[in-house]
Amino acid sequence: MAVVAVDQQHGPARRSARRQGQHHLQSLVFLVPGAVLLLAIVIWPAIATIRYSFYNATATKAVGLSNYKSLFSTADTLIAFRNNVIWVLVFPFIVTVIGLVFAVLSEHIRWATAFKIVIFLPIVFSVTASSLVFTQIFQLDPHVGVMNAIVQTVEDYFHPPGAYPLSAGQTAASLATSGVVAGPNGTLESGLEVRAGGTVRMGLTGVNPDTLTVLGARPARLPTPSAGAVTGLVWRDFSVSNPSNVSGVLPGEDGFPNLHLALLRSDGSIAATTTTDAFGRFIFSNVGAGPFHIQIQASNFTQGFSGTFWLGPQSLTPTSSLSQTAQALLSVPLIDISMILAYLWIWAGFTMVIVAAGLAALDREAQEAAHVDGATEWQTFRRVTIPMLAPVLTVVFVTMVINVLKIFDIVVNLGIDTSQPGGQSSTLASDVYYLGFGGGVHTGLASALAVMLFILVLPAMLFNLKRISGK
Amino acid sequence: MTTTPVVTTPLVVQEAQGPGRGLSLLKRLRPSRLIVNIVLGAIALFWLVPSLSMMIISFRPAGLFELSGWWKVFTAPSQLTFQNYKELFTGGSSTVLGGGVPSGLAPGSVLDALRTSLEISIPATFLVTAIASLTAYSIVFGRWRGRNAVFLTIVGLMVVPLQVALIPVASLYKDMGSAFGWNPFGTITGVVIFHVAFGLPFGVFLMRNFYTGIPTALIEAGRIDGAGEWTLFRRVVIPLGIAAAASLAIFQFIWVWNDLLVALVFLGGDPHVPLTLFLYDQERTLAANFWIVSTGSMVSIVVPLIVFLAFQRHFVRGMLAGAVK
Amino acid sequence: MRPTLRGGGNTMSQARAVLSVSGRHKLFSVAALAGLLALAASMVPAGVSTASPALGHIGGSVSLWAEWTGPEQRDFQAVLSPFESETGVTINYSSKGSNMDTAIDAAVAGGAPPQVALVPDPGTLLTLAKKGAIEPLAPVIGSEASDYGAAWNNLVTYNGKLYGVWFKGANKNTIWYNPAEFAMAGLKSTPTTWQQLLADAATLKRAGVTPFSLCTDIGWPVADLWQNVYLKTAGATDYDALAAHNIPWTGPTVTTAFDTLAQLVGQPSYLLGGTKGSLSNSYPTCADKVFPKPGTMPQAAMVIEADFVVNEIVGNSANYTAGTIGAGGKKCTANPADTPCYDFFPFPAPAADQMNNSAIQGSGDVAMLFKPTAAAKAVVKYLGSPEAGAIWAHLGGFASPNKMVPLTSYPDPVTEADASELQHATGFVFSLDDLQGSWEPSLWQDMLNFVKNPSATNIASIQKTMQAQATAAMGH
Repeated sequence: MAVVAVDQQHGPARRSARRQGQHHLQSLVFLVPGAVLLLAIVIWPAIATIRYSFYNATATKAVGLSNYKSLFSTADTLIAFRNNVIWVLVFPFIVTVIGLVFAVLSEHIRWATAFKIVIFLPIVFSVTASSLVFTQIFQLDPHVGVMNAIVQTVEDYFHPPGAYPLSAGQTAASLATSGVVAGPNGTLESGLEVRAGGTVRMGLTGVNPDTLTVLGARPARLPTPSAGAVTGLVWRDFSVSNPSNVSGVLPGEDGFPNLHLALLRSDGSIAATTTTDAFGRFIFSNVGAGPFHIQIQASNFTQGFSGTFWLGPQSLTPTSSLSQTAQALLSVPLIDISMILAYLWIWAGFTMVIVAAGLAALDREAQEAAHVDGATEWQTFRRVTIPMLAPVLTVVFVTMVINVLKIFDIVVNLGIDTSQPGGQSSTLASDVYYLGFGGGVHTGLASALAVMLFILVLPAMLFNLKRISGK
Repeated sequence: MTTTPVVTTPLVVQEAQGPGRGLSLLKRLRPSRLIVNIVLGAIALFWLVPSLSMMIISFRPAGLFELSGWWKVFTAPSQLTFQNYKELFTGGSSTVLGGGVPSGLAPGSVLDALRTSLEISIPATFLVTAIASLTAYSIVFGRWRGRNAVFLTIVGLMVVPLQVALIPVASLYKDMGSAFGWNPFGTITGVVIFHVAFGLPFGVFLMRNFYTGIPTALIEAGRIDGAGEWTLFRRVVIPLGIAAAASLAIFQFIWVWNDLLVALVFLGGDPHVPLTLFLYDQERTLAANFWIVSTGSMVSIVVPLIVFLAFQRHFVRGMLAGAVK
Repeated sequence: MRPTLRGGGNTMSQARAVLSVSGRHKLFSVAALAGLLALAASMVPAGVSTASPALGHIGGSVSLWAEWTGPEQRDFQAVLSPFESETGVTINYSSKGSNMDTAIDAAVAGGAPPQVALVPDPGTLLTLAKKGAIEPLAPVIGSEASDYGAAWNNLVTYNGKLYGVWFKGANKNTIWYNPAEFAMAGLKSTPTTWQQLLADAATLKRAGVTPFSLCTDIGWPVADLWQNVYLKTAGATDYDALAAHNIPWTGPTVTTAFDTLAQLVGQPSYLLGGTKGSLSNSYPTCADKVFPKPGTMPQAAMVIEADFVVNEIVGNSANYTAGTIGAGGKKCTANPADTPCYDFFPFPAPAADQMNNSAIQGSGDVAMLFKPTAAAKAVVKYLGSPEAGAIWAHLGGFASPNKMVPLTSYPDPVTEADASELQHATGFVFSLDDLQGSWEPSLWQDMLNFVKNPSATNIASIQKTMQAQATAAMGH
C-alpha cells in the first residue's frame, strides 16, 4: 500500500518504470531452471569435449592440434564426411517431398487419420527395432529377406537357373574331370573326338551328390554302343571310398540326369541336341560321318540369383579404378541408399504431419481466387499453394538437414561393421561414438570429431534461425 | 530418436481451417479422388509391411525365424502362436529366453520394467514441457537485453550429441554427492535430469516459435492491468500454448521411452530397469534373437502409441502458430 | 565386439528345471536351499570338495557386472547360485552387453562402480589398474594365482601386481567341421598341416561340398583368423612382439601371414557364397550353414571359429553329438534331423612350422575387484576357484583357463580336448586385436579390406596402412 501511495505521488511514468523492473526480474527468474540444467548437463560437457579434442587418446596428455591434423589426413574421415554429404544431398529433399505429397493427398480421403497413423507409426518404434526389421528385409538370402525374395522371383523368371547352377566363384571349367575339357563361353566339351558308333565317357566333379539325387539320378551306367549313333555317359567321377580314382566308373558314382548336350561337328556347328537320362546316358541317333565332339551347354550351369548385398559397401558409382582418396570421396555405397530408404520409412511421417498442419492453416481464399480465374488444380497447387507453404517446407527441410548431419543411430544399427570408423557407411557422428565408446577408445580423436560436427551443423542452424527470426 | 528442431513459422492464420473448407474446391475432382484413394491405399499397405513383419515374427515360433521368411505365414496360418509373449511375461523354461523372468511386479519382471519406464518418462516429459515453456516465455515476452543471443545459444545446443555428456555428467553427479551429500548417479532422478536437460534445446525452440504467434499486446495489456509475470504466464500463455505443449510432450515421451543408452549407463546395477534395458538383457550377446526383439517391440510401442493417439488432435493443431483471436 | 559363450548341452535341462524356480538371485526356502546344495554337490565332479573350508556364512550383497545376457546369463547364474546359498550373499547381477566399457567408465566417474566386474578385455583392466580404481588380488585369491599359466597372469599384471583372475576362456585355435560332409568327400582324417588343409579343401570342392563358411561380414572373425595364421607361421614370440608393436606391420613375418591366408581366402570357390557371400555372412548364421537346424541341410563343411561356436551348434538342435560318431552309435548324417555330429581339429601350421602347433591363441573374461568388502572378496575368490569353473564347464559351452578344473567336468570328449588345449598351451597368446586399443576398429577394417582383395599389391598397401595406424595409436 505504501508503495502505491508513493508511486501515486510520483506519477504514472515512475509507476510503470517500477513495474517494468519487476516484470523484468520475474521473467528473468523464469530462465533459471532451464539455465541451470543446460549449463550443468549440456554446456559443461560440450566445453569439456572441446578441451579433450586437444588431448591424447586417454585424455592425459595435451597434444595440441595433432588430433585435427590426423582427422584431415586419414581416409577414414574423408569417407565419413562423404557419407554425410550423400545423406544431406539425398535425404532431406526426398523426405520433404514425400511429406508434402502425403500431406496434400491425404486431404482428399476420408480415412486421413488412419493413413497418418500408418505413416507415423515407424517413429514410435525404437530405431534399434526398426533397424533390425530392415536388416531382415535386406538379408542376402532370398529365403529370408523380402527384397531379395522379390528380386529373385523376377530374375528367375527372366533368367531361370540351370539344372546344375555353379556355386559362387566356381567356373564350369573346374567341373571338368576325365574325358572333359573346357570349351568356349562356359561350355564343356569332350576331350576326344568321336564318330558314329562310338561311345564317350565324360566325368564331372564339383557338384554336390544331393543335387543329383534331387534330380532323380541313378548309379552311372555305360550305354551300349549303337551303330550309326553316338552314345555316351556323363557321370559324377568322384567316389567316396576312392577319391583319387579318376576316369573309372565306380559303384556309388551317379549319372548326371537332365543335362543338355549338343553334338558338335568339326567346324563347331551343332548337328543335334539331346538330354541325358537318369543314369547319365545319352544317345545321338543317325548321325552322319564324324568326327564329332560332345558339348555340355553352358545353360546347364547358369547360376540362379544369389542375392543383392543391399547392406554392402559396393559402390554405385564406378570408382574402383581411382586413387584411394578419389574413391573415398566419390563412391556411393549401396548400403547408404538402403539406410536412407529405412530412414525415410521412419521419418516421412514426421514431415507429413507438419506439412499437413501447415496446409490446414492455409488461407483458402487465395486458392479459390485462382480457381475463379480459371487455373487448373495443378497450376493452383504449383503457383499458389506451394509458395504459401514455402516457410513450412523450408523449416522441415532444414530441420531434416540438421538431423541427418548428426545421423548415427541407424548407421550404427543397420550395418554394424560397415559403420566402424573407416567403413563404407560410417558417418562423423558414428565415428564419434565408436572412438569414444567402442572397442578402441581414443578420447582425443573422438572429441575432435565432435567439435567438427558442431562446426558443420552451425551454418544450417544459423540459416534456419535467420529465416525464423526474420519473420 | 535424435531430437530435431521443429519450427512453426507464424503463418497468416484465421481460425484453423481443417479439411472441411478446402473440400469444397475438390468436389470437382471426384474422378481423381478414386485414384488418390487407390494410390494412398497402396502406399499405406506398402508402408505397413515392415511393421507388419515385426508383428508377424512376434507371433511365430522362435525357431522358424531363420528358416523361412515371415510371409510364409500367410500360407500356413497355423504357425501363429502366443508362445513368445507368454515367455516374455512369464519367463518360462524355454531355450530362447535368458535367465528366468520374475513374474508379476517383482523387480526384473516385464511389468516392473513397464512401471520403471513410466517412472522415467512421465516426469521427464512433464518437466521438459514446463521448463521449456517457462524459458520460452522469458525469451519471447521478457524485456531484458540479449534475448536473441540466449535463444540462439540454446537452440545451438541441439547439436551436442548426448554421448559426449555421459562421462562428464557422471563425474558431476559424483561431485554433487561430495558437495551436497546426494549423488544422483544410479538413481532414476539422475536419468530424468539428464533427459530433461537434453530435451530442452528442442523444447525451447518449439515453444518459443509458437509463442511468437501470441500477440504481445495481450501481454502488455495484462501488465498494465497490474498482473505479475507468473499470472500472465499461467492465465494467458499456458492456455494458448496447450497445443504446442502437447506436441512437445509426444516427441519427448517417445524419445525418453525408447532410450537405452542413458539408462544403461546411469542406472548401474539397479534391479528396477526400464523396458528398453529389460529387452536388451533378453537378447543374445552376439546376435539379436529377433523374435525377442519383435515381441518386445510390440509390447513396448503400446504406451507411446496410446500417448500419440490421445494427443494427436492437439498435435496437429499444435504445429500451427497462433490460432488466436 | 567381444563374443561370449552360451550355455548348451544335455544336462542343461536338468539345471534349468531347478534353477528356473530361483529366477535371478533371490532368497530360498530351506527346502530349496538343501535341494540346491545337493544339486551343486552332484554337479561338481568327485574328487573336488564342494566348498572350501573358508566359505561360511558371510551375508550382505555384492553388485556384479558382466557382459552376459540371455542364455549365457542363465549359465552364469547357475555358477553363482551355490555360492549365494552357502554364504548368504546376494549377488546383484547386471548385464552391460557390449557397452561394458562405457558403463564402467561412467560408473567410476560417477563414484558408483560395481563391486565386482568381469570384462573380456585385459586392456580395460589395465587402464583401471593404472587409475587405481581396482584392487590388487594377490591377498584375495592367494594360492589360486598359481592355478593359472604365467601367460594368463601376465596379461593382467600391472606394476608387478596381479589385478585380475580369469574365469572363462575361449580357445580360438579351432576349426570346426561337420564329419558327415567330410565323409561325403571321402576324407578319413583331419588335416594336420596347412598344406593338407588346402588339399582337403580341394577334395571337398571336387566332391561338390563347399569347404568353408567364412564369418567375415565383420572384422573380428577375420582378425582372429589372421592371428591364427600369424601365430602358426611366425610363432608365439613374434606374435607377442607384434602385439606390442615392437616389430613393424610392414615386416616379412606379417607379409608371410597375409600371403599364407591368401591361399585360402583368395579362392572364392572355396568360400560359401564366394567373396561377396563371405562379406555378408554374419556370425552365427555362418556357423548355422555348417551345423544347421533341422529343416535345412549343411551348405559347407568347415567353419573357422573359436570354441564358443559350440553354443550355437547345440542350440540349433539337441540331435548334435560331439565327435565323429552320431547318437546311438550310428553314423554321422548330414541331415540334422537324424544323427548329426560336430567336431574340431586344431588350426594347422604349415608343414615347415610344425613347432608352432602348441602355440594357442585365445581370449577370455577376467574378474576384477573394485570394492574390497568381505562379500565381494569372497565372490572373486570363488570365481577363481575350480568349483566355479567346473559348474559352467559341466553345462557346456565353456572352457576354463584354470588348470585345476578337472577335465572330467566337461560334458564330452570334444569339449574336453578343447579345454585341454587351452589349459596346457605352451605358447599361449591373447587375441591380438583386443590388445591394440584405439586402432582396433581400423585393424578390423584393414582385415576386411584384405578379404575383399587378397592380391599382393593390396597386401603391401594394407601393411603400410596398418603400420601407420599402429604407430599413431600405440605411440611408437
